Amino acid sequence: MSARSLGLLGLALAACAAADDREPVRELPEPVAAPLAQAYCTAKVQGIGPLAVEDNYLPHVIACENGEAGPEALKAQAIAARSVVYYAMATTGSICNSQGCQVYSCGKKPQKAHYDAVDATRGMYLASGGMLTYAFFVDGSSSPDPKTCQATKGPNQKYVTYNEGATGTSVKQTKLGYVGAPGFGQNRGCMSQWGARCLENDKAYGYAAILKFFYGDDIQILTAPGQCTASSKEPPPPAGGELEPMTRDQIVHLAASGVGYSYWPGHARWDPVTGAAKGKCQKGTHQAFPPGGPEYGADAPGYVAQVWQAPSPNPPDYDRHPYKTQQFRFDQKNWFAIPRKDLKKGDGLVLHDGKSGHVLIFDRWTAGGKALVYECASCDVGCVYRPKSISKDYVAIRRRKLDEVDPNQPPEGNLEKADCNTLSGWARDADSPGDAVDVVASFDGPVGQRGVSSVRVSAADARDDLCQLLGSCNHGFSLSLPAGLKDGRKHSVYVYALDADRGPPRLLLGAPRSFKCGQSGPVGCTHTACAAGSALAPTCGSCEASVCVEQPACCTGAWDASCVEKAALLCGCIQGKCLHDPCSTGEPLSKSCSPCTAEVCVLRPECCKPLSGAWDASCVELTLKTAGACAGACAGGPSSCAHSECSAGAALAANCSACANAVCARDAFCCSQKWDWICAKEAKEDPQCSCPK
Amino acid sequence: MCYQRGVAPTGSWPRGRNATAWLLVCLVAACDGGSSGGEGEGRPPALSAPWGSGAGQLGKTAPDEGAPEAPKSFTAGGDGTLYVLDQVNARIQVFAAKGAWLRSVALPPRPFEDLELWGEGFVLADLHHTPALVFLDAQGQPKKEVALAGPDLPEPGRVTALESRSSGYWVQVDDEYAVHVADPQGEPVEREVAAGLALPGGDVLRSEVGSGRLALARTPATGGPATRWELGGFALPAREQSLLALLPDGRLAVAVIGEGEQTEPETPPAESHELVLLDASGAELSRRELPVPGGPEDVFRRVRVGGDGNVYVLTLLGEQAQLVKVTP
Repeated sequence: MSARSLGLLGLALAACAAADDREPVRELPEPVAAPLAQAYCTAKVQGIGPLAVEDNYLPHVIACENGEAGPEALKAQAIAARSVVYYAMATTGSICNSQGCQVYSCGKKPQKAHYDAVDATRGMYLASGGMLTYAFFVDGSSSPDPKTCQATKGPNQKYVTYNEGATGTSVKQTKLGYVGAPGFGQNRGCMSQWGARCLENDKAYGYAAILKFFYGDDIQILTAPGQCTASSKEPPPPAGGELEPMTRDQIVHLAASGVGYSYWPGHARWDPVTGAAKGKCQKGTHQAFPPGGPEYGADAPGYVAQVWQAPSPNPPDYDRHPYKTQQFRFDQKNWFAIPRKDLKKGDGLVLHDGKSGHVLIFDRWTAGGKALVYECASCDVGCVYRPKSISKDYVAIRRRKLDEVDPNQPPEGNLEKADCNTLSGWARDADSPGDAVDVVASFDGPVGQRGVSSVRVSAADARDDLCQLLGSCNHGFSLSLPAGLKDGRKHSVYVYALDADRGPPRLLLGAPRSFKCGQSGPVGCTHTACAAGSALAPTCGSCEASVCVEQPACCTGAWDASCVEKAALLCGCIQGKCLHDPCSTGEPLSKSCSPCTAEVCVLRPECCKPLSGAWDASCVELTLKTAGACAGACAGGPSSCAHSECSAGAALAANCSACANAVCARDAFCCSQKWDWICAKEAKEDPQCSCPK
Repeated sequence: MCYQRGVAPTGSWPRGRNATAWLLVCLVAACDGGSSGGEGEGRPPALSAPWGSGAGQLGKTAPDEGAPEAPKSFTAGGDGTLYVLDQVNARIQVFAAKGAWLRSVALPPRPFEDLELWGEGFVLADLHHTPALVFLDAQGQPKKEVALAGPDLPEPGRVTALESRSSGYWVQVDDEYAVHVADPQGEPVEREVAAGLALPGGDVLRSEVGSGRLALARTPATGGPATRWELGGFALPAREQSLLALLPDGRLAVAVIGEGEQTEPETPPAESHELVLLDASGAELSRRELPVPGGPEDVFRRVRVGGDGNVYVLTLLGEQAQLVKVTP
């Protein structure tokens, strides 16, 4: 995708006009929904690195692209350039530094006029029809008619559109980009940079009128929310003010967003959107990330003040350092000391010996009695989440104005059996002792680790031996080991009980475990039975076993087309796809024809049993109700997340999609409180989500 | 006060600030000639090193607004030689079994947290910046490095211990489970997990501290329900398990830090530290008092079983650090 800007207008307009010899875009570009939930405060510029969009990137771009223009044309240019970089960040996560996108480095230093134009339009971008509009611009003719500011000649004039007075489907799209159906919101035409100058100089148009002249009267100029889009001329949030209510989940959620940043004495600032600032301060000097960019990090009391939003609400990327540890230790206005045994998630621990001190956020106790804490510890360590032995010198403190919830006991259970066929045991939640809880088995890594697969089942099986032990009997679970893991290689399984009250999952006693099942070497479970490849082992699953009974060479020689054909017949798959939609009844499906069927087949093997089984209504129901890989498989199922996981909004149900499930396994806040920009960022980083980077 | 199994301490147990000092006095003086006759009892600590950066000293520091630090970890070789990870001074301090300073080994400038021996050299765990096990020779030169982040270990910062076993080097996560990350030669391995402390025969033992008690659960290697039992009768309610280890003779060693009720939230609670020895079946054999580690500084490992089979406790005092050796 290209902005088709000719760039360097202020330096060499004529040369630039000739330079654009790229072909127009023919393919349907990826749409980006508008309004945007959050401004992109940092742009990753290819070959340079991350840059602050408002304070660095855009002033350079407009200086390079139309540097000699007047203030209104510069503002129009800033809004168009911002739309372009927002699109690039939303779709590819970076932007090139050339005329193919827009030019950042041309050797020209931005002047006050450029900074002012960007500052006056902070966060503004173009949108139409619920889409982010890709604001095409070219230089156009250098000698437009001064009465109309239009032109007909010029190398790129053919791309320029004049849409003044046009709205909706009558707006002309530019052939520089993909031309969609009439009214297509992403392509609303193309601005002429020379024409913009003309409009300001000869017709006294303001920036909004200039943009409407080229993109149509109904082009929307929206402002993306974000700390970087508040005008730099605005005063900082006032010091003092009132503490506002917070939940414990909100506290740890904010604390987690600061993990990975540097220790920065006397400061507290981090950007939950752009990610961690790796860096090690040495000899008291904070190392900025990226070099030359904004500095991020915090020291201990600065971090806790931000996390507790004390003494008043403050965006975490706004540097504020209102307290020292001495105040956390001795002041009582916004917090108070509590007995250590009463510590709960989101409380603090403070230490002060009269000269120096430390303060941190408590999350929970480990099995060994260490505290899992969030803290900005030192230059060596930075801001981390880690287990820590808490000596008696630490005083426990609690923020005032906490929205308390009932105390929650963690679930418990035991993984009793883990062999090559079955994982079984029991689990329950003492808060709901008679109710069944779900257990999650994750393979080759703890739950929440990127790339691990997981299976979720209900621990509701009746077991006589549990009646006396637990007071109720229906807490057993059992599930089959996925066939794909029987490949002769070492794997691990972690089994957790899920908290009925959405607390963190609890690793069962007896877990994790390592296992090695099936055959190794060339005969293994290296691909699905529905696709050709190397020989598969009969132990991979009942499908493979059935095929090899009839065609032994499939398990000794190669899994060739005849094996695939046989698998299609026996196992419910064809050409690597499921034989039919798992959302409708029919022949048994192969567990290897899709990740969803793999999960359903574990839960109900009859759905997948070759010949004797059937994909009946119960299998369809499981497809609809099973979270994880089946989320999103069927229309009308639990896949309908209330909004995109890639953007901020209300809390999502964990089982609305595999993506939401994965994010909430790591960050319960996203499914219990709010799907804020941190959740959206986590979604963008999770392989189970398909967000643009 | 070196009492036996099931016998709770009687009389006036000290409370408040004096408890730590009382226990230390007990350890080095009053317990002489106790039931087990350990080397630590009635004798000077194995090592006393004043704070500082000179030869034979150990570093302690505190940023104005951050976590105070002291020696991060230590270990003891089979001959009793003591190795202290003096991270503040970026070195390993080596002491003879009787406490005489022998030499320093300069370390690369990385935030190491834990230490183990690797032949004549060392293994150090960097958990935060470039999480890895770093294998150094006896002169401190890096020879090998095994990344920690990866399968079964997405958050190396949550490692609670580095352990040397016959199969190589394992790390413990959240005091709950262990991940095998390197072989004895310092090469990465196909990762394997264990749900706790692996016992001879394959059973796995896990402990859990909660509500002032320490519970143990043994999961049989053959499958089936875990066997659970509690260790009670501590001088003070259990706050933290400082050690769960297998001794060379097959006995189990469990050390527990206890914490008393606070009369006021801002008054430091009384602390105790006890070592419980169990036989291979989990039956309690005896109890011993240990010195309370003391000090608010971040110390990654305060108690461990040395290569000589003794239990060592690192204690931080006003003027010095001490390593106290207790023969179990």
